[in-house]
Amino acid sequence: MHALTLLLGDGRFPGGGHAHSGGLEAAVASGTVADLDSLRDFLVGRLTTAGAVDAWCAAVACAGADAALVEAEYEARCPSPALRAAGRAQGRGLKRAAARSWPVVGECPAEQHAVVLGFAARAAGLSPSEAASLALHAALMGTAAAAVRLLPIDMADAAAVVASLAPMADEIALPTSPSSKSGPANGHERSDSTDLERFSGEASLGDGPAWSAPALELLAEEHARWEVRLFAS
Amino acid sequence: MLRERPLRVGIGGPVGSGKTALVAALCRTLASRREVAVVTNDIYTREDAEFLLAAGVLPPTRIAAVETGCCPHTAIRDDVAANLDAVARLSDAHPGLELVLIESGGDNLTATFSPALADIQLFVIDVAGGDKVPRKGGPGVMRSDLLVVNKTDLAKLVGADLAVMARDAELKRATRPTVFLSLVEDPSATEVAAFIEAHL
Repeated sequence: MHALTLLLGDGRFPGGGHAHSGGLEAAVASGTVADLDSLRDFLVGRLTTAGAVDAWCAAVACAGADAALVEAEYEARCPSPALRAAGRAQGRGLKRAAARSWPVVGECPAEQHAVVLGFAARAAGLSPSEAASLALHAALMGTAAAAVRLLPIDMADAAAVVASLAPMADEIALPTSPSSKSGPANGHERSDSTDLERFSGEASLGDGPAWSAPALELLAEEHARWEVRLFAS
Repeated sequence: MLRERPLRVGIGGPVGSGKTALVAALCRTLASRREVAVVTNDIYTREDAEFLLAAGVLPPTRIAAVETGCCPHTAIRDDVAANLDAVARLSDAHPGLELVLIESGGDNLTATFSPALADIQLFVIDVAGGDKVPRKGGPGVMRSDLLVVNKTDLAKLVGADLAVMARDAELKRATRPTVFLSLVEDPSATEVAAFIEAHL
């Protein structure tokens, strides 16, 4: 763990994430999330599907894979135009902010947040697993922070939910073994291609995890059509 | 003088003080002789943009709405990423752009714009909010480049003493200017428009 990991993971690092709820605004409106228990379920779903893909993209970009290729792989795994646009908006914000600390980040050919995050983590000298942790932290804490603005929830309770999911996040970011059986909540085994040793191999990019969350994608598409929104996504 | 990039003017102030009406007035006054665009930060996102569209002061391609995630001051001060992105996109779409008015969402007296976002900032209060507001100070009242005391036509109706507001504003702002405005009496916001044009 580096001081720079904390800096990049700090919600006050000005990358624009505060205006995104990670799909929670639409989930609250649909009644899917209404309290701490349903928030936890929502976060588990996000963590083990879209979050795992985010983590993998951040890790491979941090390991030095071509950011444009990683972005193409990411977007091939993300059928929702609204989610792709939200990821690009956050990535552009992060790129602009991080380039002030590490000018090379301004040359990152990608816009997707997870990829830019990995690129910035590399520029900061962090490891692929730290980049993966940062991606998962953003997915969890950004959504938890949005929850206290959308529901009568105490931030300390929302933080406790995130704390309870930390072992799961660590397992995704830094698998204990390549053949780890602790996969997503939907019962599938996670692909062993999250193995850190394979992160830098561009030939294996297409074999990266491709967990999808259709409900998140549908909610994002619906949210993008709302006339009145508090969050950008 | 040709600027390298458009002048960015932040317009902040409490809810209901007349920021959007002022932006509409400035657009009516300036858009005929300057290349103008607007970024709105209202918490209800598209409402302000729609107000400007309905007023017919700017074409839709020159208005961008930014969502602030329930936190209007964060979007203009602590984390201006979404606003900078909106400004960049407007600038790309309109290469000759000279002026971008960035209207904050309605906030409180502590709101202020990051220097990374606004070159100059206006703070709009109104007489109906009480004539004690200038005395309370805060970054907007004290440090804005121009303090606009709006809706002076309502002063008598709400029992606000404009002389008290002028005196307190001068005490809090030292040499920084304050303008008293009634858009009912001056729909062109002449003095405010002149202040902005002096920076172009």
